[in-house]
Amino acid sequence: MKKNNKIFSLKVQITLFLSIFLLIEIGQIVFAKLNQTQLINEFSNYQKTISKEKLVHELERDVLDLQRQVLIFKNTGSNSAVRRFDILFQEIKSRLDKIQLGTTEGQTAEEARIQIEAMQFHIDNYSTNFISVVEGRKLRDTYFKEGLIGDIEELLGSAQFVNLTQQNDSLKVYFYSAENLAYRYLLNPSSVLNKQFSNKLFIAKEIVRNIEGYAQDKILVNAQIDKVNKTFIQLTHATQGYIYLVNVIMAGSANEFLFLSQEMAQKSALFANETNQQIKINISESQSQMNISAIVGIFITILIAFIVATRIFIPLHGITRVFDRLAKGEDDVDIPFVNRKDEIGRLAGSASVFSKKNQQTKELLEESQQLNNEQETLNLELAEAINQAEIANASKSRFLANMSHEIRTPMNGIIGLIDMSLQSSLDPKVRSHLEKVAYSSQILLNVIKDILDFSKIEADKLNIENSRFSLTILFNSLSAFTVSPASEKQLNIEIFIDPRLPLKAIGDSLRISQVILNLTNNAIKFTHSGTISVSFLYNESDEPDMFFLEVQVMDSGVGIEENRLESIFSPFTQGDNSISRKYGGTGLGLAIVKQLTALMYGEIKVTSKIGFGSTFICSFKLIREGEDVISTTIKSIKKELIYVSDAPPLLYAEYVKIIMPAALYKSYHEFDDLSVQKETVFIFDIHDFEHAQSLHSTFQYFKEHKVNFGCVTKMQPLKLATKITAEYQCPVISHPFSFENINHFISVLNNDADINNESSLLCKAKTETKVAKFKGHILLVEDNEINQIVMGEMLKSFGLTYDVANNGSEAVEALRINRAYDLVLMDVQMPVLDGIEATKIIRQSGDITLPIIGISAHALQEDRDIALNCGMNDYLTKPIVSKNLVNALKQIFIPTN
Amino acid sequence: MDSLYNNVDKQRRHILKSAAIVSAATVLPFSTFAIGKSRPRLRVLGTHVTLQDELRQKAMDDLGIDLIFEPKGSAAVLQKASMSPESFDLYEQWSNSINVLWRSGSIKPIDKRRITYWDEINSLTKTGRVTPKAKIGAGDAPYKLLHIQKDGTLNNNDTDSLSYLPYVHNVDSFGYNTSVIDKGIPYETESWGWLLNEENRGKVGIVNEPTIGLFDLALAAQAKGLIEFKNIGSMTTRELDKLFEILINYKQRGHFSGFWTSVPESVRFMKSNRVVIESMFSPAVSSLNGQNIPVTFAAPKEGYRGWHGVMCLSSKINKRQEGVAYEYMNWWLSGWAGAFIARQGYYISNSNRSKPFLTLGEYDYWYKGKVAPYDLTGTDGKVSVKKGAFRSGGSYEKRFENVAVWNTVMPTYEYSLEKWYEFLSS
Repeated sequence: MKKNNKIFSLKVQITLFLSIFLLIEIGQIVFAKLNQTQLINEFSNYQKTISKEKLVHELERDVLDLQRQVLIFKNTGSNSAVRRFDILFQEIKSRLDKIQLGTTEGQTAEEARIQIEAMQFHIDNYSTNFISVVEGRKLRDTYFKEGLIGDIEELLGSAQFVNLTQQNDSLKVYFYSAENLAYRYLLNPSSVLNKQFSNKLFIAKEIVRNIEGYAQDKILVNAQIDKVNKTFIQLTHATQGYIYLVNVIMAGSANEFLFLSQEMAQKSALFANETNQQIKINISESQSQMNISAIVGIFITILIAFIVATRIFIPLHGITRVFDRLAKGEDDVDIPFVNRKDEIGRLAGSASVFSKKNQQTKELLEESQQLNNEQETLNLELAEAINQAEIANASKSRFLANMSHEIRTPMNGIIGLIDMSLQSSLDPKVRSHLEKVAYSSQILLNVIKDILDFSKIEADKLNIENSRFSLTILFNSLSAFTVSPASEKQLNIEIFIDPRLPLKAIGDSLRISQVILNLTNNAIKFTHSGTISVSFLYNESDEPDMFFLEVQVMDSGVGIEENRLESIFSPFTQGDNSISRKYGGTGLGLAIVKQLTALMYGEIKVTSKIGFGSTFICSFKLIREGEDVISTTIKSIKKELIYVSDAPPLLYAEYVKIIMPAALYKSYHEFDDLSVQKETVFIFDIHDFEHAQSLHSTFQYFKEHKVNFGCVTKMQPLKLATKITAEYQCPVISHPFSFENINHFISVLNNDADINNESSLLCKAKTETKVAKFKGHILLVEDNEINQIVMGEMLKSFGLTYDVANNGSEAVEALRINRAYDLVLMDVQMPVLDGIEATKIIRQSGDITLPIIGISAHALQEDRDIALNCGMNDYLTKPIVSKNLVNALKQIFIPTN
Repeated sequence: MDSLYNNVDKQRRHILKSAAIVSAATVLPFSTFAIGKSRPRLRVLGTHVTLQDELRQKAMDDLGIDLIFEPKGSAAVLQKASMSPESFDLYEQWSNSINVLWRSGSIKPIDKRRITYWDEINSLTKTGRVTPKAKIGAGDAPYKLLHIQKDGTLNNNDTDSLSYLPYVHNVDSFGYNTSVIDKGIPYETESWGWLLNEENRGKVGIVNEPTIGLFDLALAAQAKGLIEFKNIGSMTTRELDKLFEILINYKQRGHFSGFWTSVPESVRFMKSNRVVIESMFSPAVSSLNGQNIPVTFAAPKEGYRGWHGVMCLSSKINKRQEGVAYEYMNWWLSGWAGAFIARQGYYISNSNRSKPFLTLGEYDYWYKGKVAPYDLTGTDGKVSVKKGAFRSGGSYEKRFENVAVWNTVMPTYEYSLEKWYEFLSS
């Protein structure tokens, strides 16, 4: 089908016709060109042949002239004939060369060559022989004039001949007649004359012979006669020789030469005639062929024009009109030429397709309008659904917030009351029970907090703050929060802080703390003995002013099975189902950690080995604040330092490098051999008190010689540091140490500070027991009675007095009546008038200086923001822990103790 | 006649060779006269018919001598010989030149007694007839010139002094292309008159040599009954006038296509179809037949034109050279040379001496006129006679019984030259 289409294609048809036309034209041109070339060739051949013929005739004429010259010479001996011969000969030679160089038309090149060579051969021979002829004739003349005639004269004039003639007078006559014969021979050479000449001499000799006496004269005369005879013979030979050459050899050469030239001329003439005829025939043939091809060309041109008109222009016009109508959108259009198989047919096909498409487009337009309507409906529905989902989500969040509020409120009561109860004197059994209730309450609170965080993250409501914070403070507080629970389980805590870390950074320190505490708490929870190492490492970022804080928490705990390493980060899953039973927890902790690190552009990984412990590594992307790094804050030792340890030094090498870059590390064994120098400072790693005692003599010696030394211990055993300090009055630092601890330790070693004035984090943590005391009158706005009691008790414990208002309305009223309150503690959620509205009214009433601290079970940031925006000075979330309350109170009141 | 056997190449080759020899001679001018030391050297002046290099080499090897061949055109040979006898030791040409040479005193008598195989020489040069019934032939029959008489004349009276040594000889006629001209019957229909047949007009070739071609034409004219000669061997000026009047008439009507001057040229004439009938020599016929051109060498009923080679002693030869010259003459008659030239179609005067040097087939064909029993090769090693061919005219005897005229220098020779010139130029 395709093939057919190609064959029927107009392009092909037109190309075909044009090709034929072109071919005819080309053929005509080529033919004309060929004809022309042939004609030119033939004409030039004709002319060449004619000129050759002419040349040949000239040659013949010259040769005839040459023969004439030879004859002249033969008869007259004329030198001018010889010169003329030479000129003619040269002319003939040059004409022959011309002929040789010229055309060979009428015969093959080989034939022509042979013929011309033959002619050259003959003419050369002719010339050579003519030279001989000239010589021969000269010779004859010489023989005749100088030889023969001279000899005869000499003979006739000689004395001996005169003597003899006196005897016979007739003798002379023979010589005269011989001389006469010689002249005749010269004129007309003939053997007859020759013989007669010889006869005359023979007779003369006979006469001489017959004369008597004169013997001497006779001999002389005979010799002279012989000489004459011989000369005559030579004369005849010379004559015959040159006559033979002229008459036979040269005449033969000339004859042959003329024969060849005539033959050549004839052939040339014949060829010229043939060529002439051929030219005439060719001209007439080419004329008629030109005529035919012109007629054919015109016919084909008309044919092409007709075909183009009928096959293309007319149908094209029709199709164009069809398209015009289709373009105007007319439906009812008859499409012609559809059955044609060429481009017109295809155009017609296209037109019908166009027509169909027109129809389809119309239909589609209608359909799509309908679909658009449906789409709009769907969109509306979708918007509604989204709206509802958002409402639902908001409800869920609100629900969670409410729920946490609802739980926190009673929890506030429970914890507050237990807290207070425990501060009173109690029966030991009851105290024990209450302590357990307090612990359980704390756990419950933590669970609620986790749920709240998780739901916030889920609801995408958790915002990561970007605020400036001190990394050292972050690390110190983390240490403090870690040390306490670890010490209870007698675990070692080791904290490494990369000195390259900047001092300050921008990020969400609260959330970082949350993540790290979660990990450390987990570590402590699942570790029964050994060490928990926390490393804060510095990783550079590709982005300027950014860095990664990498935190590694390594424990020596129970470990996690490999197949659970992935799932532990999923919500509500724990390392083992038994874990929840054994260790409790919501199973949300690590899920929250993962979400939080992700929110802080970091990641969390875990590796673990069952029975050997786990390592959690997480990182946070932070903005560097300022150029200062931690290493700059570390003091250095001004003397030489020798660090004595049998294991990896407890004071991290990274720190020591800063403290004293040239520090020498020695084992205890090596240390024994050291000669002590005053200008050297020693640091010893001590594992237990027995170890310290084994160094007793050394320490004593140091003391005596005022050599400074210090000790480093692990966190456990807990009292080791204190004991060593007490025993040897040397500075001791224990894990986990802050840079403040280290700097103090170094200061002592440098003799810049006393050993005292410094306590470990552990000690610090333990000293927070003293209750703060304030003086002031407070309006407590709280609708819940239990909470009124708890808060009231708390305030009382701080030495504060208070009035209670049951709702906002009452609070506003109370303030309107009595303006002598130092502080308002305002619950946010209350019936009648809530805390927010109440605060607004208070502030709107013009009381803007009165401190108002909001109290709410709503822990969400937005709640806090609302509170602060409406004019509250601070915001505390329930359950209110005395510590938090004290901190808030400290902002307003000056503690009295 | 020698030049007729020439072509350009051959001439050139011989000139080169002669030049080499001449230069050698210049280096050693008198070496041949040194006492008993050097190889004797013999200078031979002659024509190509007998001055062939194969013969020279063979003779030098056989005789232990140096041979210097000086081949020349016939007129030149005769002229040089007659005018400077000191320039050669031996002279080889045709019997028709003997009269001139002898009169000029250029040659000296040959002592018949020093010719080893004299007795074997056949009767052609002794009595003039190879067989009793043979015609003598007009003109200078060689036997009339052989013996030197006491008075210095030459005739057939037996003496011990010879003017020449008889050796190579042959009879010639005309050849015709049998693909054009019907083959005739030897001695019966074949006639010299064919040369003047009207149907052959424009296709006739004649040898350009008055002492030869003149007789061919005279025999033709006589055969046609256009002229009657009193003595064809000695035409009168009147007869010559009449003859040439006839011939010039023919020529002017374009009867003659060409006049050849060498055997190769005569071959070319026939081969190129320029002629279909022409004066011919035996080697040309062999050559054409070898090239598959059917040329028959006619045996004219009027008789052949005979020719006889002559070898003469220079009158100026010295004694020592004379001895060598006799050795060379005797070598020629000792067989090998006769066999060699037999293969070219020539006869030797003592053929029995050559017979052992020929195969029976060769001898039968060349001498006996019998059919060739197998292909015969010429001296050039090519086949010159096809098996089954026979020599036209028959045996040696048959051919020499029918000599119409000998090549002759007539008393009217000079006049004939004039007429010849007129004829060629007409």
